[in-house]
Amino acid sequence: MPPEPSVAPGTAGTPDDVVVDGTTRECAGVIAALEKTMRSLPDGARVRALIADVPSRIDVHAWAGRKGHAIPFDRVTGAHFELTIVKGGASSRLGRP
Amino acid sequence: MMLMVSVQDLAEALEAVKGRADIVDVKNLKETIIGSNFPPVVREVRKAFPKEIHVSVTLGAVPNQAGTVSMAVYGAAALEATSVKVGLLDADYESGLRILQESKRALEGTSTKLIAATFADSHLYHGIDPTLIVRLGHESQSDGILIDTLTKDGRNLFDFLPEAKLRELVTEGKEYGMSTALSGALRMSDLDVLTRINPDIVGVRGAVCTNGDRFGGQVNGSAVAKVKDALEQRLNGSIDVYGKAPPILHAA
Repeated sequence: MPPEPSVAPGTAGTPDDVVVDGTTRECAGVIAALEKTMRSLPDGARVRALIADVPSRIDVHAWAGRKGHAIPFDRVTGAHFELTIVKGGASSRLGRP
Repeated sequence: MMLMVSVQDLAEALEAVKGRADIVDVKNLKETIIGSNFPPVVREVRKAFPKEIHVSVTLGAVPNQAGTVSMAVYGAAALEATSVKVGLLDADYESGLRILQESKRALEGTSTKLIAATFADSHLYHGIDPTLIVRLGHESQSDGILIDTLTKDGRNLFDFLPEAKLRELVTEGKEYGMSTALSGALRMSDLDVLTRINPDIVGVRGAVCTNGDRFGGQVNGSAVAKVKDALEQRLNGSIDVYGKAPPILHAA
């Protein structure tokens, strides 16, 4: 089995969250989209990322770790993964449930 | 991860799409190993498929002439290619950057994406360092990067650049907002490592040709489907490619 990212208990996305859909057929993947989205958001902002596959889910966890973002919520929904990412949340603890 | 199949004509493109390729990459193996095909061929392939099927155009290892290259790039856009690949070999950093910058300028007002490419085995041809690709792509505002090989003697991408280096380049490219692609005589047996690297696009030809022959063989739809199935099994986790991977470091 692939490594399971360790995720703290948290809450699912809310209607106000910015959504990044990484399940579409775009050449540039979800990390590129998340980078662009995060640049335009303030610390503590929440992004709901839809992730198409296992390697991308692992990539997003690794990316969030490097960038200091928290992932308080991670679940499988149908054929994809749904992650809630809190900008800067890993260092500031903003947005933690 | 999208599957890109290199094709030489419409018949091969139809086979590739039958096998569920996401991208057909039009090239011409008769005119150097990765040469350009003729505009009518590209036009015919583009017209055969909806926009959801990406059609890329390979310009090959381009001459060190920004004007000539940017004109060819403009031609690819006029043919409504999804993307056009500019391979840098016989160029130093500055001239390579200029070629890409002029290529990007040639695409203004079009939806065609610019893909900057280098070759993992370029040292065999006294070419540009392939690991400069991320910097070149970023500084030229290219939409994506590709690392390919020129050597087609049985060696492939992983004979020239290790997994760790490729992963580093792919990760860096993604964080700059670019699409990332790997190709270079890739085989079915490379799918595990490719999945771990996780580029946005993986490109094949020999692996999906009859008799595994990228030159004498033809793209075969069943072979494409086999690679696509194998890739999907790795992407959805039904085949584990990580084994005892180190824990993912993040602070939740």
